[in-house]
Amino acid sequence: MPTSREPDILIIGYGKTLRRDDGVGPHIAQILESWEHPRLRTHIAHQLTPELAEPISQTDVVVFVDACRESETEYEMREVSPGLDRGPSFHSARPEALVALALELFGHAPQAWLLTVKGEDFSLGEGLNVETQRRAVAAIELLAGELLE
Amino acid sequence: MTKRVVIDPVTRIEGHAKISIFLDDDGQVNDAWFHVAEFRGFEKFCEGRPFTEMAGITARVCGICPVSHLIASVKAGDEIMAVRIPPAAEKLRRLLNLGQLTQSHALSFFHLSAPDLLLGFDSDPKTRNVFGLAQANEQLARGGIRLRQFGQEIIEALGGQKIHPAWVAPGGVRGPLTEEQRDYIRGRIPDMQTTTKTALDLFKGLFDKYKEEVDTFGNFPSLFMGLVADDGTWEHYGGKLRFVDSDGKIVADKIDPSRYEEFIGEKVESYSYLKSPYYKPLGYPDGIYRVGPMARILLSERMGTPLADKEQAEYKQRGQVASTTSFYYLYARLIEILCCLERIEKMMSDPDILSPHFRAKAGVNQFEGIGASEAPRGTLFHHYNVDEHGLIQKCNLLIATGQNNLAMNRTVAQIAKHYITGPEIPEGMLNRVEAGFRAFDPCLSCSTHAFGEMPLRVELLNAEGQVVHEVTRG
Repeated sequence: MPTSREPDILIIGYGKTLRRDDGVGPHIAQILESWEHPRLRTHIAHQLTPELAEPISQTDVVVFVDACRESETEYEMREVSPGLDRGPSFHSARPEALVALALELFGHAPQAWLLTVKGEDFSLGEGLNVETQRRAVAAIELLAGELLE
Repeated sequence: MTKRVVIDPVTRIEGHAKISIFLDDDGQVNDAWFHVAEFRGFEKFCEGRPFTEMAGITARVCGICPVSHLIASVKAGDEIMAVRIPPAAEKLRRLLNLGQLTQSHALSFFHLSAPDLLLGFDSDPKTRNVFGLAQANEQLARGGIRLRQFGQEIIEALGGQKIHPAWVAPGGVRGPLTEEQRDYIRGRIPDMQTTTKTALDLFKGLFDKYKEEVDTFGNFPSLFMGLVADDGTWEHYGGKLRFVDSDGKIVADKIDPSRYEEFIGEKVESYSYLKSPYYKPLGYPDGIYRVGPMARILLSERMGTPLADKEQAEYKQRGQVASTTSFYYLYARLIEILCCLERIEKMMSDPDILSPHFRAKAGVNQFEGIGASEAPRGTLFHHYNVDEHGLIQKCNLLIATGQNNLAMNRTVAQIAKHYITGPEIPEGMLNRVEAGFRAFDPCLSCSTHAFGEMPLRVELLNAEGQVVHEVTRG
């Protein structure tokens, strides 16, 4: 009999690291990568592209990690359903569309989450605002609590 | 009364643009302008920076083709250092550029143009994208995604990351390929070739269906320019400049890229930040020329690989239209992908790509350096003047999309003339202006060193600037 296993998780942190807090997604992905957790794989991207559909289709759970400008909460994690509600998309896509593409072309849509962290400073430059760094730590705790414990 | 149609912005190109189409008193199209309304100023703010930083800085011009800027920049740096780079370094740079050509052409064809071709130019714009393509032809969409991924994986394997890799440097590169990476790349090539050949067969079967578009998408004679090897073989990294006309006659040949200013003038028009380069001996605007995949296919005598040679021969057998219509940029792009894959496969058997001797080191030995290479969209020049400390005194970037500017204007005018015969904007004209324009795969981030996002707006204005008809999308 096959033994049940813990689901594999793909973390996709995306954003522009030269736009300060826009890089909070890659920042979180880097931290999670450093954990070397056996169930975690990470991917860092400037933006979401159709090429991600295949690796998404090969995992049990995918978590998109992105910055947001306007939000009532400091960080938030919500489930993502496959959806092609908005085109066109060429070298930039939405999480819903990528999950749908994974299902359409590669036969599997994993359970998907979008973790967003509110940013303060999106000006040119590297490094996160102190407040955003704090939120990133809290967001990682949320993600780990939801998916790894 | 003169009227003016404005398309603002143009979608599914790399950057932000607006198109104005001018109508005469009879409602006939008189002229078209392609405006680029943004400015980033790389040539100016690079002044004072060390030439060794230029690759890293200018790669930020564009997120689609940073590799092209890296290569042209480090070639200019090689000249400033006056070094001959190790053979392994040249081969590895070539491999990087082949990966870049593959991924960029795959993006352009499969993600941007194939939806138009398979779903139809008049299909719903909301479905005319890679997702619509997935529903129309799942295998092609999947193959196209993997093909682009493959090109990016080569870039990532060499440069450590897909976008803005900092792996090339004046004097060479920062490291070789590993055996594991080489074997992985080699293992994926057969699938990539199958995808490309399938797309080529599919595309060639569509010529009859799109005869009207073939005839009107920038179908006019012009010069073509690109790099070519000394023996006339297709080139993408080294070689000399060649100009040919639409009859295939060589107009100028064996021009060292360092002499580009003798042959290419750069006209600035008040309506656009995009410069309008022209072939100097014919003056402006008669010196219109095109660069990029179509130019490279036309001006080279062979591709240098068996499958691509066969396709190039078939391309050229299609007669005059093959050397006049910009619709064939799409066709040429696929032939180039095939050529890149064959060349990558051959390079995987070359031990030099694993060599530890990959970089020459030197300081400033010359105060001027000009680097040229073939970017996906055409020939790219980086021209630097430095002081004795290697600090940039003057920087000129001559970009492929700019060199196609005159041809893009004429393409838009031709399409508009065909579809507009009165004061109304007919259904379908907008789609075709965009698609005709997109055949060049223009990269405005590069050509103006600008960036942007865009929905689409068309305005019809009279001579007083009043809007008499407007169509909005997005």
